[in-house]
Amino acid sequence: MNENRGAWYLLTGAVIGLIAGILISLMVVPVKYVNTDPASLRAEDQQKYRALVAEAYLAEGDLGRARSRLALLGDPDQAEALVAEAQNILAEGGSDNQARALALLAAAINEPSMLVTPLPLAVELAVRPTEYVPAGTQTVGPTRTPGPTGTPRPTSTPLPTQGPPFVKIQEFPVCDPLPEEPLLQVIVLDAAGNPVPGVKIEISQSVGGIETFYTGLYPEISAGYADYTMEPGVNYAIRVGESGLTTSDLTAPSCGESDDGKTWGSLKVVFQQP
Amino acid sequence: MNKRMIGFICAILAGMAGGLVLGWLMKPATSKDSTLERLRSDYQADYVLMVAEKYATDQDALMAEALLLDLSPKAHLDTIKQAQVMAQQLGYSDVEKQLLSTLTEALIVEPETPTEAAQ
Repeated sequence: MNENRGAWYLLTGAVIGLIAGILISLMVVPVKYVNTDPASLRAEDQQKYRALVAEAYLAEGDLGRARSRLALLGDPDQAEALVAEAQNILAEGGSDNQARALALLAAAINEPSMLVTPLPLAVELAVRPTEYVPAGTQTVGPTRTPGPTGTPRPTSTPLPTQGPPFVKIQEFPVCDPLPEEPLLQVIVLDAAGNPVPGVKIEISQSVGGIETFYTGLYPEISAGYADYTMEPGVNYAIRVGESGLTTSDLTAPSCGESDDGKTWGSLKVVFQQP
Repeated sequence: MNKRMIGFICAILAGMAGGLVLGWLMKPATSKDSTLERLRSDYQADYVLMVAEKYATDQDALMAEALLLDLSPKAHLDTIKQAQVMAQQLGYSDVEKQLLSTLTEALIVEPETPTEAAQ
């Protein structure tokens, strides 16, 4: 007896192969991109790249180059991306230096007139660098995409956080408008009254624990602005800059009574270099 | 093996070939899952230059090594050498080339600090 089963077995085989092929292509041998640009990096690597751009910016003080490098990431708002990353780093207890570099670069992008002095080189550079000479002559190569032309290094001027220590010149409560949560709002100015980004602020509270934050993370308010959420009734002490004096007894001000009890306002404190 | 079995296997292979192509096409071309390791060589060179610039200010050789490892798991000195070749092709300034050389020297001097400490 000859069973007539048609060509269904071929269709069955093709479907089995098709499913296996899709699974293999997605899970075993997925597409790998090579010779990519920074815009195609995964989020984690974009963050590393962005942080390195900021740290390199502190080293060379070349805002144009830093912006060109950041442009490769394709962020719609470079400063916003830098600020968000700085805030993430601080929230996760990451590197203070990276957060500061990111904040400073964000501030510089928002205020291109701001001068950031390159950090001093810790290594001696000889007059003539020792160059690596490759075996064979190589004449054809790609164009230099990320690096703009070498810009002369800016002349040395004091770093924003250097100079005389910041001293408190003003402290006042902010009750109007009443904030959703009491904030310690710190504004840091230089001797000329200009806001200073990237200034380290250490805050400690009476129950213990020290936290760090930086000015410049809210460039839409001011490059010299920073804030910290306060717990009502808790005394805080802050130190602005590396050599600033500690300012203590900072607490959320009471802004009257409501049905739920006391209402708390924010406390604004202004520091300036003498 | 009868004809039916051969046909079945051929159908599986044909289906698998189609599935592979389909799967690869299903992967979006604009996918943002690339890594630093797969950056184009001129971008890699610029990355190494940034590491060198950072090293020039903080002299943290271990951090420089870690950053270079993100770029390539192979020997970091090779990574810098490739960057130096690219630097010459792309006309990096003397200062930039020197920064790369300084990084090379630093990593030659103290490349295996953690391993040596472990031993």
